[in-house]
Amino acid sequence: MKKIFGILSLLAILFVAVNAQEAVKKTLPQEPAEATKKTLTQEASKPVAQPQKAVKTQQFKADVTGQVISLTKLAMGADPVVTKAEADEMVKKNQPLALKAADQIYLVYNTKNAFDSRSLAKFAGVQNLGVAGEVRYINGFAVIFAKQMQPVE
Amino acid sequence: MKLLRLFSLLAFLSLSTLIFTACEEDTDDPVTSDKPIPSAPTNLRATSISATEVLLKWDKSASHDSSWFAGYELTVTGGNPMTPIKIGKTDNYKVSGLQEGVVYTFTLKSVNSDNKTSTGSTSVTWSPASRFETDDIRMYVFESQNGSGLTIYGENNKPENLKASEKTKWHLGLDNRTTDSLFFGSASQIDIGTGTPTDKVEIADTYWETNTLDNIFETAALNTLNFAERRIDLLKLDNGQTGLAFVVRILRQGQTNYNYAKVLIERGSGGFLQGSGNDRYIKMKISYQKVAGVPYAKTSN
Repeated sequence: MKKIFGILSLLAILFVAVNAQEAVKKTLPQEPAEATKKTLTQEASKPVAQPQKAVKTQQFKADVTGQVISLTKLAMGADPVVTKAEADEMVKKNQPLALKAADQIYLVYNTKNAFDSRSLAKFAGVQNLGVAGEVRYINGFAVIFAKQMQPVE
Repeated sequence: MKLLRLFSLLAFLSLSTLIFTACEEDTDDPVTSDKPIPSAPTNLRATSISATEVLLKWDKSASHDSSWFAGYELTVTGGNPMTPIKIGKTDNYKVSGLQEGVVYTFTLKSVNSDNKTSTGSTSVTWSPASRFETDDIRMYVFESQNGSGLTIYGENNKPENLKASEKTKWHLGLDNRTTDSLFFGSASQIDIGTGTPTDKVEIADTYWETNTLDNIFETAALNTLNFAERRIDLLKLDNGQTGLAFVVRILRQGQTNYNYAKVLIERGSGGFLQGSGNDRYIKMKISYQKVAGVPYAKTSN
């Protein structure tokens, strides 16, 4: 009798325990991996104590204004002005772009002294692209080391 | 009559035997044992999944792999009373049925197979937050006819793209005009459009490399982070693989408490800028705490 009661009690307890656990168990199917936490570097962020007054073009002064052209098309005697899609395609093929101003064609370099067709391609198709930066004339070539570009009026 | 007495006697004896046996067996209760008390889990942390759900994650108990270890027990306080929740052998759990803006304290203990809990515990305080993950949360490049600005929670109760002419409503902005840079930042720090934004927006100097907001777990209150009105060059932070998530807080005009948000800038295969031509854009997912003054979390141990 004692054994029967013992077995029955044990079975009852196991039944309750198992069912209670199953009823409330809710875990995610996949263990979530955690994101990598980092802190901004000085180089990447620009904290400003006093908010700047936001005016669209007042602070920008273009040193050269013109249109984005393809040197390849120029060399082939075709109309060198390129659309955005053409410019993107040319950048993929490492074909050089340049800035055609009223009186001069400028090779555009960035501030790291790298030839910068990629930035020019962003503004291909813009009628008046302003480029701010230092202009130098080297062995007959006009070169601008661009600090900033944006469409201008 | 004799037969009735005999029957009563037998019934009495049977009942006595049963009671005696049952009482005797209580002393041999098979549930009582000497299983060790499990050590407590540690480092409970949380993230908001939706306006009603919080995902918890913790470092497993040192007893986790023992045969007698049953799992964990979660207690939730704050809001409507909830019965303790039994959790199996895992290190994460999604709590549902919560209310945005209510600050809950989640306390986790270990449990052995005899249902004995650890003496220690780990806890975190957190609140669920609304989630916005539609495909149209975008800021466009300068040359686009669409806007370079965004309000995190606009008049239609969701994030909205804004043009330069709506600068006063901007919370965040995008500026791609500088060579080899792609700036994302507080509206006041993005030099596009006219007018001064009415709400003050600050960004923390902590960020996460991730492709989802679901795996940004925190134990400390977000208001302990280092906030400022910032302009951040996304290309300087690009690891070539993941998006970037930032904590943003907004002091709405006329309010004294901040609304907190997490903003995930997704990364496409070619970088942060997606789309093509003049309509390239960055795409975002946003977790936004609609109740001001609730910075998602406070640590409690």
